[in-house]
Amino acid sequence: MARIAPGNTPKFAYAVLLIVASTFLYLDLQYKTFTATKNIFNSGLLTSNLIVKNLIFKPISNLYNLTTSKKELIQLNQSLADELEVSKIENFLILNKADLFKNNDELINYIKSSTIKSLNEIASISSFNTNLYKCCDSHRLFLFNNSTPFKEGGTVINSEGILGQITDSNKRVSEVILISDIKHSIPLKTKEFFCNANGTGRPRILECKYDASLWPESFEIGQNFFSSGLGGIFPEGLLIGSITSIKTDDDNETILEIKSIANPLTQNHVMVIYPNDFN
Amino acid sequence: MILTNFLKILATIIFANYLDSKINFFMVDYYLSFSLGFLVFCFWVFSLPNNIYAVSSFIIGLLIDLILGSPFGLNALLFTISSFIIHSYRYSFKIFSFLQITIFFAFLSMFYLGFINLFVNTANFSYLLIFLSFFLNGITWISIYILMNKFKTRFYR
Repeated sequence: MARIAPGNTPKFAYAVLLIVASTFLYLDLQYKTFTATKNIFNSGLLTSNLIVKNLIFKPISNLYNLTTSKKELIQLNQSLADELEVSKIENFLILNKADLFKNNDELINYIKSSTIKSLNEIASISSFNTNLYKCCDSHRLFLFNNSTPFKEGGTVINSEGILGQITDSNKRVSEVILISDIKHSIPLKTKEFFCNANGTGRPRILECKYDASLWPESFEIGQNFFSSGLGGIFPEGLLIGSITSIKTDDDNETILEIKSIANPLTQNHVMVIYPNDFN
Repeated sequence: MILTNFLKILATIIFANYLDSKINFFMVDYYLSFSLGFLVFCFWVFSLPNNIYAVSSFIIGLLIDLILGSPFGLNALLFTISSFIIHSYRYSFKIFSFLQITIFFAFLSMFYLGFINLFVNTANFSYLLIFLSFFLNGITWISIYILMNKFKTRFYR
């Protein structure tokens, strides 16, 4: 390897900027100082994206559709696809109503007297970084707000099951933390066994860790886990997923890997519900 | 460096990052990860050492952080460090063979991926991914070098 030749690299500027970048990184990781900046940037990006789509690409595609006389059919197809997604979610809601809203009358009374317009709201996904979802620890998606921002803690579901919960909202978009995010934890149960399933940072995979000497339970691959409702956020009794592997770690703790049944990659629409607001 | 040139450089890096996100979605399953955006940035620093110094590297890194949604300052830090390393070796590159230069940038992108994964993928950090990506990014560097040289001669003034 050749020796480093003397050059006119300005070391002082590099040193200063390295310190500045490290400070930014520390502040963001430790105190989330730049979250607002990132959200504003994301909102701007989404808005400009929409404007470009509606002003440039849509007229061009409409022009094409007109010439081929398929415009109405394509619109109809799109609206039917959207309707189908919404009705799938509503079906899920109807099928699981007993679990989702145990105290339905009280909930409706509460909603009538509160700012929440309805007990459920359909929302469309504004952005979802699928690359980050597959590669990294942070699993977040963003929803377009309806008339009002979604309330923090709202449960987000699709037609397959629970996806996550609302963590943050601004005027335009709301952030959803998915249950597979490394910072997320959801209380689960199966028969008489309870555990907190942490996100693993891998798509749809949750992890329950327990000391086998304290809980002499036996599990098998494919065994179902349900939400226990203990955290006060998610409703009780909903199927979350099933065991895909059982391992033992170095500390002799048993690790159950649970694969969630809800896949966030399948639909563009989700529903936000507030099942625990009556408490 | 004039603003239009800076914007051209920025556009190529953003485009390469966009490609990155599209391709890596499928590649991650096979323990492979491209770092096209970073390699394009390295190409510009390598081929225009008098134009891209600390401040431009820092600004490009910050913008990439905002676009990718990664921890603020992470890409800024890594781009600035990489820029410093490339500048330190700028005269040595003249006596390096193309193979040596390729290995140098493959190593650099391996460290970049390693650091990025340390911050955003701590729980599932994979040495295999980093190791395999060394070869992948080495091969990618060759094609980026050829393509970006063509782009540079045609569009960069």
